[in-house]
Amino acid sequence: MFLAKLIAIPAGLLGLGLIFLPMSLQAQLMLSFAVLGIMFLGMTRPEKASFRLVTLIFAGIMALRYAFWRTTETLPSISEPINFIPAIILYLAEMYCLAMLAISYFMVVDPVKRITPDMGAPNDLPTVDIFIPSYNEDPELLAGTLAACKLIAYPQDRLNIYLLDDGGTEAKRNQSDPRQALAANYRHGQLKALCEAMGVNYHARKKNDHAKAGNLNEGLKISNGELVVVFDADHAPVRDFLKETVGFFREDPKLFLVQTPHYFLNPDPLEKNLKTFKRMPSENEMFYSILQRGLDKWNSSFFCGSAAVLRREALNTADGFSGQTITEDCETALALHSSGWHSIYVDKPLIAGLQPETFVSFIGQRARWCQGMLQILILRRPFLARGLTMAQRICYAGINLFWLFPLSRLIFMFSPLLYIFFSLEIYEANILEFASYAVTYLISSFAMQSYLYGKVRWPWISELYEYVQSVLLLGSIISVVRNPRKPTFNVTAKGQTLDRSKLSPLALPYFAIFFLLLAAALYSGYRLMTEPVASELLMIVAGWNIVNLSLAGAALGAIAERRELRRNQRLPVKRHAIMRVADKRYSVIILDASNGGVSIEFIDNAPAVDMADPLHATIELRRGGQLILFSVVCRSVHKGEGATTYGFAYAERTPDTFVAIAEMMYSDQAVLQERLLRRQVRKNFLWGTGRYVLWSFTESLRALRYSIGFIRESVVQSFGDAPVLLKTDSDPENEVIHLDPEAAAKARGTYYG
Amino acid sequence: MVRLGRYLLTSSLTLGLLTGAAFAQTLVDPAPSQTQTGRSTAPAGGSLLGNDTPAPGAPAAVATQALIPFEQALDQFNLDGEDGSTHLTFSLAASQLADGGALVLAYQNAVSVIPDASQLDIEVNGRAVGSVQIASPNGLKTESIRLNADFLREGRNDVTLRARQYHRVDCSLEATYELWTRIDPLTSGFAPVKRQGFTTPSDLLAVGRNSAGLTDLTLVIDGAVSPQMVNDAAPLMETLTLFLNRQDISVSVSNTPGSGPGIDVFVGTTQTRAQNAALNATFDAAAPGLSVRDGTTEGRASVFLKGNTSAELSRSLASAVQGPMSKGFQSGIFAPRSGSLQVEPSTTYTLADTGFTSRSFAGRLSRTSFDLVMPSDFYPADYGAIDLQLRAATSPGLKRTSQLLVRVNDLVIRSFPFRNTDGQEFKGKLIELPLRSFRPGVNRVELVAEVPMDSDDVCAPGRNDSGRPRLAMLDTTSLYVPPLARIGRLPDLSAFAGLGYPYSGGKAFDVFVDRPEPRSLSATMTLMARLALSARQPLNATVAFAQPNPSSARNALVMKSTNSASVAGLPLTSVGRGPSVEAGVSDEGATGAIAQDLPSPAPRDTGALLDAFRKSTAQLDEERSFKAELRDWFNNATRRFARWLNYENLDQPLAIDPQDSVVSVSQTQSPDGEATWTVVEARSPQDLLTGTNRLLQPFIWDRLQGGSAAIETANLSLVSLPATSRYIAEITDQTPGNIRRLAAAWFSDNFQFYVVMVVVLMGVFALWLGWLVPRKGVRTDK
Repeated sequence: MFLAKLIAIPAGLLGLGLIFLPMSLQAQLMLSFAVLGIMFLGMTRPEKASFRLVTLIFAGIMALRYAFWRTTETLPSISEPINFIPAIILYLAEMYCLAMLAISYFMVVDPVKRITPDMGAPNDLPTVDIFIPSYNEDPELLAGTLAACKLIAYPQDRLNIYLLDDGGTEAKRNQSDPRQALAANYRHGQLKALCEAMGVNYHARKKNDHAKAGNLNEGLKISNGELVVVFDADHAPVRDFLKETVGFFREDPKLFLVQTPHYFLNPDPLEKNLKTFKRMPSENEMFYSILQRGLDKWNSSFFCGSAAVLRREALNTADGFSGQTITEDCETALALHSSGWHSIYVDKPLIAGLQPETFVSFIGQRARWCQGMLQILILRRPFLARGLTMAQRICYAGINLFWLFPLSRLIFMFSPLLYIFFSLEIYEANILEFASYAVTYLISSFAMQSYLYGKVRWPWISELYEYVQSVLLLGSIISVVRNPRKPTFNVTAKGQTLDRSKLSPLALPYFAIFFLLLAAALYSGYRLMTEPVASELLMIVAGWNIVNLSLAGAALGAIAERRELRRNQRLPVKRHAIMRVADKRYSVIILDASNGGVSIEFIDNAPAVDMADPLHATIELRRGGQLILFSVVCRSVHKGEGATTYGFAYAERTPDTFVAIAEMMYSDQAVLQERLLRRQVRKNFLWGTGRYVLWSFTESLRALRYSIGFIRESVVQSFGDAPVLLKTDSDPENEVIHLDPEAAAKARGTYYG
Repeated sequence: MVRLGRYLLTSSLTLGLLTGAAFAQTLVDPAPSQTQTGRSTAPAGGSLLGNDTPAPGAPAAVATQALIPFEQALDQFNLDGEDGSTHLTFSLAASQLADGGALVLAYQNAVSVIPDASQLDIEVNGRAVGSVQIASPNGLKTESIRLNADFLREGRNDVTLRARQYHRVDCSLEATYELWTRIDPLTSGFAPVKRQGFTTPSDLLAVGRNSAGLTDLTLVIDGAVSPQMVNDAAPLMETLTLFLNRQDISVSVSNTPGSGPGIDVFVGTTQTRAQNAALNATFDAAAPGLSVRDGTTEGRASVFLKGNTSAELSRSLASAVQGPMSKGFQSGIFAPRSGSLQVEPSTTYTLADTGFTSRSFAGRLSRTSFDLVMPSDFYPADYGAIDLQLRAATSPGLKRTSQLLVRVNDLVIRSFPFRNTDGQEFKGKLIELPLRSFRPGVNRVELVAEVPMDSDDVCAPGRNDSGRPRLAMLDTTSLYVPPLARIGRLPDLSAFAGLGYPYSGGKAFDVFVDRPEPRSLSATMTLMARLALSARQPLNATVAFAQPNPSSARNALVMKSTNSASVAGLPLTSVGRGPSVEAGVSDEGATGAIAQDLPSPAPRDTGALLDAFRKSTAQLDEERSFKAELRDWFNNATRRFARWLNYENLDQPLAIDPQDSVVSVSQTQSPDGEATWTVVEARSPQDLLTGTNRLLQPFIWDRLQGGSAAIETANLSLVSLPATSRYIAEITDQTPGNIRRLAAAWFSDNFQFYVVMVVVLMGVFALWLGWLVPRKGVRTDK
């Protein structure tokens, strides 16, 4: 193999030398055809490393040729500062994208698929502490998460669950504002009762120092398990969570982290507003299904704040969770990787959580990620961090640098306007050059996007998400660059509902940009029609602006928020059960379940249902010979083509009910896996482009409709969820405690994560 | 530079003089008649433009002598467009200075030029001496301007002519191409009060042109001619050509002196004089060494180079070059040539270096042109561009169609629109001129600014809007010549014509003449003189009357004629260079046209023939089906793409038919591959002479390119063909930078190799990574 190295490295260097030769357009065009041909050939066997590397390297050739040409031929003279300054800004934005492309190729060069090792004999298993940090969340949602944790298959004597409540700290309970102090006290009492009823530990620290990281560190102090599991308040684990993760720690004593993906039950604002949730893979799937696996190859998969198992010993060496930045998860991983600890990523959805429902909370979440990652970039300088391997440096630099995308995206959006309105020549090329270099590069770029991420990302969706975030993250970037220590931890609001469709409060800049680009499109059309010698550059730029306009049009769909009445997210479970109605027993299939109720289908016959006198029933589930019972009341009947579906709400929600819910929803990991894979269908570029163009028209029109208040929606009345009833041992009279939904609603929707 | 040139001149001259063939041969043909050699005597004052009007006398009260001509070639006597200018020179002896004389300009203008508003401004040595109205559409009109000593200087005097001319009826851009004024080279010049005669080499600078408009050098050899005689004479002929610095030199070999304006040259050693007994009396009267005296007829000079041996001749000539001829060289061949830049890589030049001066332009179409002389070993390809940094300004009110076109070698290679109709200032706007558009040797660069205004739509003929400039072009507009790929690649006729490559630089080579008869020898020596002018130094050539030696490692210039018959249909009057000039005049007119300058050749290849057939038999548009139209469009697009892919100019001919050529020039590698042969071939000695003379006309010579070229019989036009394959003659620069540029250039030309190499090299690298990566990091190869 030394001989192969002796041949391959000089060949690569010589090839690189050839790539960086200034060539004729003819040569470039022929090279592009050849390289694209070989790329497509390499794509035919993605599972073969050699084919994959050929594809990646040849895509790199296209990118390098473009970069070389862009650098040497397309920049205006420095003697024309009015052209040169914006040109160099655009150029730097492109070079940033190319650098990110190179890093991403490195990251995903050989993604790892882990095989779960045996967990080991029960007596040899490590002790595990589960931390559920919370801030101001709905107790009923917490009850669901706690119930799911309780159901985790692990020896009970080796498992401790901690609800770490930062909403009920002494500082909160004693704050000067009496209303807030009262709410904190009320919450403290409620959650304490809930934990007691569910048999888990409740802990509220004295002060809210260092936000989530401080809260977790407090958890470390009050616990002593060998392994620490962190779940966000809305992240309910599946039964096999520890079975899928703990075994790795036995195999590698230097392992500090096993991270698993975050699977979401609800759509984010884009998915909801563009109605893609059921068909299109979620935005985070690209990260969790591809990139984390790629990072895993280089021992760089990092802690994502939840759904992860960490080794206490490792955390202790780093004084617990790092809290210098507002993304404590990545920062902690960086510190431990720098100390020589290892990480592993398991590509199986083992938790189900919630995404921010509204555009405001979505942007708030992304602003925190963006600022936190840039804080790490500035304060921790991962590329220069001691103790990291070169591969880890590249990976961390890539992860952090990614969050500069708002700058490049906005530069791409606005650059064409400089030429259209002011004739500033910031990209000097004729149409033949553009076709030979830029178009061929774009073809390879789209092909690679499809090749690498096609299963988890429809065409143009990355661009759409980037743009939607960019408009409002620009300020976050400027803020963190000006003062890297300034950002503070803002919890992400989740679990919100919208009574009626409306424009997001953040809509204004999106409309402004849309109309600006529309004006530019119209003006460029006017110029093309009226200028006798329409320049080739104008045609290129006008086309570019049309692409941007489409993006801005589709993005209007994201900020035109559709109403969200659903309080509880359903999960299809398809589970057999027995329903008892009075003395009769009916065989049923539970189609889906949520924290509010279940949908069922009767297998043989169904009882008579009169909506004026709701049917009360009890559902029996069996697990391991143990009977699980819960009461339900019929709320709806939907007659389909072949079958009739009945909607039942829980008649009451006790801790046992939540255990039953967890049993239904989270006992089988395959349910999440199947739901994930069902959406991961590759869409071709033309289809994706067609869909995107359609959105551009329909969604911009919908947003315009919302802007003038033209919304046709009827009022929908729904039944409220059953109250949560607790029977606590500490209560001397063992009375039932009603968790007040209104009080909870005041603090609803803000969670860590 | 001047010192270096002088050194090279002297050293190569000496070298040339010391070489010589060992055998002699008698002239096969008797000396050609004057008609045959094109030296027919024409009355002084005859015009090249035809339709002569009598030459005016000198201005009243001033009696002048014969005209001292302007030295420039014919194409510099044209003033085209709305604002055309040219720079001319004439030479004056010190003794003529005090009495002054008159600047005589005989001109004719296009009928389109409106007389009331159009004028010719005249400057002498940088000082305005007057303006005349341009108003002679029907024939030559002579203007004479009296100049006293204050305006003149000894040696070469500069004359700048600027014609601002407007169209009578048409204000369109196209109409500006109809505007021209021609100065007649024969009847224009400087008429001194005092006659000087020919006594010193400097006096030769004032020698007039013959009736054909050429500067005649006649080598007088009586009786037997030997290679030794030619080899003795050649350095002197080349030196005189360089000294005169005229591109219209015509060398003849004759047994009698010529008549009319010109120079008779007598060269003899003791040995060769013995073989030319008839000239002994003439030689006896001459002093040893180089001497000059009046010739046999008015306006004619005789130059003698006399010595005992060839070496002595060389020493005498070298001594003259360093002595009395020195100033002439410095003010001529080694002085910056107006309108021309001999460029070096990594250097910035300005328009001022070409003699251009900043000016504002009030017309619709401004044309600024100059020659870029690229190095002979320059490899034109796509590895770089010459950066033109435009420093100019446009005025408000221009139409949106306004633009600057950059033409290189008659092809538009860049257009830069002036989009801002409110006026714009360009402080170094970068316009890249791809190096592939250039070639070694002379490259004609034209900056054509089209600056129409809305007011042009309402044409008011005769309106003089010179007060409202539309464009200001600054002489600080610069050209940056990037580092060039340097390699001697042959064949390349443009380097041959522009710089004498590969016969320049004092490199010894052979000249083979298959027939030592007057016409072949005349053609050979004229070509050698012209090559010396291109090389800017005498050649180190050895003439032999023989077939080329295939085993020689020396480069060779081969002059051959296949038979003695003249090409049928060629008029006898075209012998020499007389009628060619007429053709030249018509060609000059064509240079101003946007259309292709060279006539398109008739289709010769099968593909072109089929294409022509298809066109002639094509159905009318309305009868054609959509499918047929689509097919044709697709075929046409495919054909164009294929030609583009092969860097083929869509208008270039596909082949040369020797049967249709007066003369052909081709460069090849010698049979053993050690040397380069440039073969000038015609069907007869007469054709060789006629064709060579035509070939050497500046308008033709500067456009010579490719691997082979020919002068077509039908219209005496030039056809050049690209080289089918090239070979490396030398690599002078082996620095990594040059190697990289060469690689870029060669791979651009041979991109199939480039593609294969990139694919193979990176493929090997990728496969190795494909093996390596699964074994790195978390292993995935298990």
